[in-house]
Amino acid sequence: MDISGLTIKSFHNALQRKEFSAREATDFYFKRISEDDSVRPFISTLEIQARERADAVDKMLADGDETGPLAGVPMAIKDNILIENTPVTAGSQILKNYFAGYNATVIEKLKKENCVFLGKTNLDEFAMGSSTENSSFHITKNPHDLKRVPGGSSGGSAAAVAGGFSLAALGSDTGGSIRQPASFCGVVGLKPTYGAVSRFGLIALASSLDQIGTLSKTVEDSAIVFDAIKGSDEHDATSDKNEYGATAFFDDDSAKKLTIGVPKEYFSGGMEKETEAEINNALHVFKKNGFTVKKISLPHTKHALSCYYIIMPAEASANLARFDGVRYERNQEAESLPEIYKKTRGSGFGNEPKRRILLGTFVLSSGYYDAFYAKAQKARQLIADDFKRAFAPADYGVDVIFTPTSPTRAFKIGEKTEDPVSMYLSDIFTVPVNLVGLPGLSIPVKKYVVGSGELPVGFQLIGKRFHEKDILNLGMWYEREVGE
Amino acid sequence: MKKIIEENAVSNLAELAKLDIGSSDKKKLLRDLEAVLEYVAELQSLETDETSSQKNPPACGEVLSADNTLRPDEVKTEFISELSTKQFPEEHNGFLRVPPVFE
Repeated sequence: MDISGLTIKSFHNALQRKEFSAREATDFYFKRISEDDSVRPFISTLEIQARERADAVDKMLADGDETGPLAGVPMAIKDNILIENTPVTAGSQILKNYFAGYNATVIEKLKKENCVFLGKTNLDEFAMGSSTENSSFHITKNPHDLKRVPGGSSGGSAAAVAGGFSLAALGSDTGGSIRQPASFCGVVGLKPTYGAVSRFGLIALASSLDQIGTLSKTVEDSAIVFDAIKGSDEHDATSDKNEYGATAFFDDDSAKKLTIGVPKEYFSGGMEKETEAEINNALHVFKKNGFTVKKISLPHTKHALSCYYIIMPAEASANLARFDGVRYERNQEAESLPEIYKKTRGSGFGNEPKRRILLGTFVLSSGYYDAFYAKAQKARQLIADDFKRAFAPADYGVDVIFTPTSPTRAFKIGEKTEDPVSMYLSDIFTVPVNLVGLPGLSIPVKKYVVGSGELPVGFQLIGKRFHEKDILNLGMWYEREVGE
Repeated sequence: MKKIIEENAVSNLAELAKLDIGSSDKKKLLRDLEAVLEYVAELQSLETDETSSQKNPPACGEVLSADNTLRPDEVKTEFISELSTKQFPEEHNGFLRVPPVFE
C-alpha cells in the first residue's frame, strides 16, 4: 500500500489493523528519502534511532498495549529543535558540528506519544528567511515545481510533508515561517497562540514572536499533533499555565456558529491575480454555506511589516550574541578574546544573520532607539488593539478572521535572494499574527496533487488567544466541505 | 532624501556587534541596510501617544496580554548536561574555560 498517501488518522487505523508494522512504515520512508533526492527536505536523518523507536512501537502493539494516535507516526523535525545526542545546526555553519545536549519539551512530549523521528529538516539559517535559500547547507525545492522555493523558514518541513517524505512535521514560526511554506507547498500549517506550546529546546530567533507549531496534510492531523505538544512547561516562563481541552475532534454545530471577519486591508491590492482568485474561491465556500461573514477593518495593518522588521532583528541580535566562540564552536585562527568573538561570528554566520544582527544593533543603539525600537513597540500595541476590537462583542464581534496566507504563490529559486525587502514582503499577511501573539492556521484552498503542475495557494484563519479550537474546527469543516 | 545611515555605519555597527565583515561585503550590507531602513522609516508617519504614560514603549508581555510566570528562586542543576559541557571549545572538569578578559 502507498503509505505516503496516508494521514495520521488513516495511518493509525492501518497500523491497528496490522496492514503494516511501524518498522515497515519507517523503512518505507527512509527508502523514499534515499531514492528520491529531487526535493532534499532533510539536513540529517536519524535512521538508527528511528528504527529502534519503530521496533518498540511494534512490540507494544504485539503485547496488546494501549497506544495513542501518534504511535509509530513518522515525523520530520525542523533543525532548530533539539533532539538529545543528535546533530542540530539551525541551518548555520556556526553549529555545523554541534550535538544537542537535551530534548526540547515538544520532543519529550512526542516521545511519550511514541512518535518516530525520521530526521531534521532544512531551514533558513537561524529561521531567518522566507524561502529556505538562506540555509548554509543546501537548497530545498518545492515538490510541486522543482524550480521554485518551498517557502520558509520551515521549508524543509513543508516540503517533507508535501512530497511524501514524512507524515507530519514540526516547524517554528516567528513571522510566518510555518504558514507561508505550508501555503507554498499545499499543506496545513498551524502557528499556535504565544504561550500555548513550550519553546524550551527551540533555538531562539526573536523571543517575543517565536512559536513552535505543526505542518501536516490535514487540519485534523495538525490538531492531533497540537494536542500532543501543547501545555505549560516549567522550563519556559512564557508558556501559559491554563490548561485547555482537546482540539482534535470535529463539531459541525459549533463550527457553523462561528462569525468570520474579513479585514479589508488584506484585500487592498498587491496580491498576485491567481492567488486572489483562489482566496476568493475559498471565501465563497463559507459564504454559500450560510456562515456569517463580516467586513472588518484592522487599520494599522500597513505598519505591521515595518514594526516586525525592527522588533525581530532587535531581539535576534541579542539572541545570537551567545554564538561568540566561547560556548559554541570557535574559529581556530583566533587568539585574543576580541578576535575569538569577531572571527568566529564573521566566518560562522551567513549573510542574512549578519544583516539582521547589524539592523538589530542599529535600531537598539543610542540615538536611534526611540525613533525605531520604541516607535515599533508602540505601533505593535496599536496593531494589537485593532485585533482586540475585531474580536470584542461590543465592536465587530467576530470569532475568526479570514485572510490570504501570502500575497503570491511559490516564487522561483533565486528570484528574491538579491533583494531583502521583496523577500520580506512575502510575510506581509502573517507577521501581524506573531506581533499580537494570536493563533494562525494556513489551509490549502483545495487539494493540490504533486505532479499536476498547479501551484498551491493557502488561506489563513486567525483566532482569539488560546482559541485554537475555533480555527481548527472551522478548518476541519472546510476540509470536509471541499473534500478530497 | 536624507540618508538614514552614514557610509561608515556598517563598520561601526560591526564593531559593536563583534562581527568580522570583509570590505567587499560592507558595501552590499550598507545597501541592504539602507533599503530596509528606508522601508521601515514609514513608521515615523504613524501617530503614537507621546504623552508621559506612553513615554516608554509598552512591554512585550503587555502587548501579548501574557503574564510572567515566575518560580521560586531555587537552584536546579538537572539541565547541566555532560554532552553540552563536553562540547565547550575549552572545558575543564565540566566547567567552561574562558580566555583571559584582561591583558
